[in-house]
Amino acid sequence: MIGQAGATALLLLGLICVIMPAVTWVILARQHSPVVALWCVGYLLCASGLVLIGFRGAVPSWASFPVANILGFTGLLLSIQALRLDAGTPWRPGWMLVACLVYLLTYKALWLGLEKPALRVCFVSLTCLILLTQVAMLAWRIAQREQSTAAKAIAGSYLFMAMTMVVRLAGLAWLGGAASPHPLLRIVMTIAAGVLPAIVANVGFIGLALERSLRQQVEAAASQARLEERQLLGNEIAHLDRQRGFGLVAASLAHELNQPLTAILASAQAAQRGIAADRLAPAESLELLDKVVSNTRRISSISERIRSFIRPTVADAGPVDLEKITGEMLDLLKVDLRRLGIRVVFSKPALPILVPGDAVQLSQVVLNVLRNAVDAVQLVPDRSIHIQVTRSAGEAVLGIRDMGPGLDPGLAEQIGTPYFTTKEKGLGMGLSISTAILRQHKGSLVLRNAQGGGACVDIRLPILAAGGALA
Amino acid sequence: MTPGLAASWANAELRKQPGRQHSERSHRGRVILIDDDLEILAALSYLIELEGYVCETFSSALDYLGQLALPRTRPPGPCCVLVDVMMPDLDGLEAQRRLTALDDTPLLLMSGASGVHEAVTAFRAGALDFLIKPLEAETLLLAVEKALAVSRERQSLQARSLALTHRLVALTNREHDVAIRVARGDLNRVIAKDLRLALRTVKLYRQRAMEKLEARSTADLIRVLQEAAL
Repeated sequence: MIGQAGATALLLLGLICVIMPAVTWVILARQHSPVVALWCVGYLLCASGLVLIGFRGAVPSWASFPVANILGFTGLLLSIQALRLDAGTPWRPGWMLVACLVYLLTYKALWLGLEKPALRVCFVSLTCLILLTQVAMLAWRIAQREQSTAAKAIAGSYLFMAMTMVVRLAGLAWLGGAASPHPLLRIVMTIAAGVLPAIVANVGFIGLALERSLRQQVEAAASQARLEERQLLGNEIAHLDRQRGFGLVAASLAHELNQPLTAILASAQAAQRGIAADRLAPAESLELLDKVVSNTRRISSISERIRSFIRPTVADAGPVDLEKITGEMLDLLKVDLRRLGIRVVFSKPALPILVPGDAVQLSQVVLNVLRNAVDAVQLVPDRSIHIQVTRSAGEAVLGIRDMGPGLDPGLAEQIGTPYFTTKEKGLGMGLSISTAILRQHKGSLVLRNAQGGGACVDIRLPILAAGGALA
Repeated sequence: MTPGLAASWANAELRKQPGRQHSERSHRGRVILIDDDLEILAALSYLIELEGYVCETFSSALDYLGQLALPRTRPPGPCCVLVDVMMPDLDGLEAQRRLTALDDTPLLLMSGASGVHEAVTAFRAGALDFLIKPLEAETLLLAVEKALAVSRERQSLQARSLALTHRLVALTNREHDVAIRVARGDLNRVIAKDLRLALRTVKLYRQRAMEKLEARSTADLIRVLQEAAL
């Protein structure tokens, strides 16, 4: 009766050891994690062991204790391996196999060689104790590392199981091999030492996995937010840089605006005075009015250029004509180029080369590079800049070469990093912003010393085919 | 056609007409306009010609300097130069330096940028005015008028000093020595003693020098010599 009750307790425990990992598996199967698989299989092996012991007498004796024990041992090993794998320090499978064999042989030796079952029970309990402690320690380490309550629950439950083994061993030592504890006590012990910890450990395992995936989601969301923020900030900086770039050419633009304004004012006032003094023929008045009109158009084209350059944009996907934006930026710099006596040689492609992207941002890159070239050629007598738009290996290449002093090889590595500048009034942001913009456009910027002197910047971008798709 | 319009036509025809009209206008004044912007050249020259001046336009200071280098008689009458500061091949300040080295034609500079630095440099180098673009017709024409007045004054001063030089050259050495000493305030007696001449001879030289220098009195003589020394 009581023996049957003991078997029932073991079967109940075995059932729990099947149900709990099954639940774990169902919940965590989506993670496709070998850790979960090892954990569940480990439990199933233990469960089979427990069921075999529960059916002892009904199954051949060789199949009950030895097989059950080796199953339990292997199951616990797999649990350990699951946690070790999780920690990134798994055992080699070969070593585990060896451990199983050694365990089996030792057990068999004890079974066959010595007629003392107490020693055998002692051996089994001791190995169990060691393995359970091992699981508890690993779980505790995870709990420490991740501040996880779930892992603490696992550690606690395994520690509790280990303690029951200690109690069992103590009982063996105290009562001697002959006497075994009261069967009822064994049933209570089995349930207390097995069922509850098995449930707690599995719930803890599920909890740990869920905690992690939640944390991952939070982290992913946080990093996404950071990325977006960075991008927003990047746009903001790029916008500021554009405004600053505009500030640098503002003096030139003021002059450029002043020219047509001067012509308009002079024409209008000439007409005024001429008509007032009755000294102007109608044809002449018309001529003067024509001048007013044409120069007003000149101004509006300049202001359009300014507006399109400084508008804060949402990234656009093009198509952008590289030659066209380069020409526009050269126009922005026109006055400076003329004032400084800089010669620009612009080799244009036979057909326009279109790239996908944001015209304003790409213009900014071109202006940055052109400004660097303008600064560089001022240091030398040969004030010329060579610009070339070509196709090369399926890419659009805008090459801007100045005949300036070139790059100092000692500083080459620092060039392009934020805040690095060789210029007195520079912020050191130009090239890093340009590089960032080009990266967003799946392009690149290479700065090198050209053969025959001077620096050369190659801006590479993917080409947009005629249909509007990427070539 | 109304009489007013007809008059205006006639006027316009006159303005375009070269020859006699040109030389008359040239007498009023000649404005050399230098700017690299053709629209500005056209508009400003319209405005200037409308006031009855001759306006010669150059799109580069180098062109004008090249023309100056040609051996050619300049038309008579006052003349001033109005040059833009910001120009590609030769900027206004450099043009100013080269022009002042050549002659003393009054210079007006104009610039779009109200650059204090440029203005100061221009004034130090003797610019008569520094105009900020866009130019008000009133301001421009006033500046032109002033510059032409300065030119006229300089030209007459030049003519006078040229005439005086001619007169001085006509003096013999002795007459010159005597005239200088008279201007200094020496008495005839002292001069005779200094130059070891007879008093009568000194008087004769003094008389001749005064005649040649067209001086009516001793005070006149002093003034003439002072002007010539300039």
